[in-house]
Amino acid sequence: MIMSLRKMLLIVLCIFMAKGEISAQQPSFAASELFEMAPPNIAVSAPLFKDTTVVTLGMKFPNSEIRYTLDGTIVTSKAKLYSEPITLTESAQLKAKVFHPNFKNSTVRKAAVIKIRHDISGASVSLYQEPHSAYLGAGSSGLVDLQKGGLAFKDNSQWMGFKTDSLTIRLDFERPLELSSLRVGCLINQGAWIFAPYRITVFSGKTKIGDFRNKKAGIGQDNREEFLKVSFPKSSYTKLIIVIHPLVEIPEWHQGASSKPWLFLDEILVN
Amino acid sequence: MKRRKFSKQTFLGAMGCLTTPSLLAAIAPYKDAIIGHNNYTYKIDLNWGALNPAYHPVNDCHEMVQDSKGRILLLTNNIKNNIIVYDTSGRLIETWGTDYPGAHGLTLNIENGEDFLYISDNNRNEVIKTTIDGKVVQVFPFPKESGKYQSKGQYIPTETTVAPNGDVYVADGYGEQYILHYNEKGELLNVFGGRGNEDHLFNNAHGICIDHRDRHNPTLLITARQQNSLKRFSLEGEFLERYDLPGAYICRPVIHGTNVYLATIWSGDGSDGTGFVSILDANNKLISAPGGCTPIYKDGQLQPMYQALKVFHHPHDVCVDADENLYVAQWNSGKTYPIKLYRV
Repeated sequence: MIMSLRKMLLIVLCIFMAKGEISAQQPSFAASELFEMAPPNIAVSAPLFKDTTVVTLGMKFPNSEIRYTLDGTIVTSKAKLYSEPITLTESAQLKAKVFHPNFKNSTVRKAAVIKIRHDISGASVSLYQEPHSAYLGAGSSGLVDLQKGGLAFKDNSQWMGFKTDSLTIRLDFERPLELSSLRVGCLINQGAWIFAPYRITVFSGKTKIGDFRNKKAGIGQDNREEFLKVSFPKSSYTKLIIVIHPLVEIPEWHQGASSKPWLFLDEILVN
Repeated sequence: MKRRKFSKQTFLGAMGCLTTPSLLAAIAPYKDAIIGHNNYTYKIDLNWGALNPAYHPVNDCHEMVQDSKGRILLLTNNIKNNIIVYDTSGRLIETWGTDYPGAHGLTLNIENGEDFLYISDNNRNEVIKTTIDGKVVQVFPFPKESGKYQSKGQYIPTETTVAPNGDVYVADGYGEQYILHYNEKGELLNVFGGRGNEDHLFNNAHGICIDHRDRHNPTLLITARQQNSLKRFSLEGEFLERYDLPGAYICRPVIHGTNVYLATIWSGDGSDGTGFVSILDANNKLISAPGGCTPIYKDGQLQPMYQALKVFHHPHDVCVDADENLYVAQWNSGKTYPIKLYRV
């Protein structure tokens, strides 16, 4: 008896399902669980700062909450809850995520803020190659003005764009500085044929003191701003010569394969 | 992608019922997602209009209109079937069109009681007028006589609109940013706009429509997509005013009732995978943004908009039916069919 009831139920369910197949034009409403929250907006008053910077996170969406970390660790549901703009006095690796009771949590959005050890805005900057006329940035002194370009590089007053085999930059400081590394701020936007350089060398006089190779230069990457760090022996320097090598050509996987990539720079920091 | 995942889940749910009926309860936690703001909120049907891509493929789903019979027409740049005709429930009625490789803009106009379509083709660099079943009746070719173009390739029309007197306006949204004003015979009467950031110029004059909400004073609404702005012009081409929607890369204005609906292809900083739907009220203020963050005005200025929920992937057009449900056609979304939003 029970068996037959079960069988009957099976048959009824089968008919129900088959009917569902035929009348596929019935609306099927998507469940909340299917959708993911977008990552939070991040606004930073100054990505490069001397004393303090203020980070503002945003997600105007009912019942959503933003959680974040500042030390580069993973953002879990127990991470710090964002309630108001965060004032920072030290360099930080910000990671933030949106959590929601009905929808999937967002992916993480990252931002780096860097506390400047040496303000070299008074240094003299000489470029041995000219930027492209469409991307002049703020001129050579714009490379040490502590201003970042952001991801929107068009009609931008910070990004300098180059199409060159190599770019040589000479920095003459106002006074000797005790340094052990420098960082070159570049843009990655491979859809716009802008790639990070594959090699940066640093010279003091005629002596090569630092050599950085960027293994990721030719790999597919999301749009972002990146600082590439070159370390060298700690010493007192009054001038440095930086030689930046873009990829020789755009890699095979890209639609611009075998043509020359763009190199975009907005800032040089020393430490 | 999302669609496939969902059908799988439904299927598993159904299988669950078969093996252990008690698992019926497992379906209960599913809450229908609701998106939008104020009175304009919607449930989402990701499966609407899904067809077998082996027979009825789409590339980009560029634009959609509803015809006099209530059918929904989709324009895609797949030359196997440039036009796919559905009923409002998403059932396939017919397909036609193999000659529109750059099929981009689709406008429906009723002339003497008959439906006509105006197809803007990016690759053919011209606008083609057809009957509702696809018979070509007129072509608006590259406007050499305008003196604004050195070659046909510089003219890349994206959208058309037809005035009450039969005049046709074409937006050269991917070309030199001019608006070309023709009479119904196809004679060029006027050219205005052009590339630039000033009020009367455009950066991506992507969409155009007649705003007939003020019955006695029809005007033109034209999107400047890269400028995140909707601009109003007189029918003679004089700039009147603009409505800025920061963070909303609006494709084309669609008037329905007292509202303007605009598919928003990117949002926020313009990142890949973003977008939502923008709905303006009678005062041209953003009152709902399905998929977007809550619209907030401060001192009359809309605060920057961005995507809040990842429902859409580059919406390119929105069609509003008689029940005020929406059909959202998407660009570069992985060859998915349109999404239907049911008004709650």
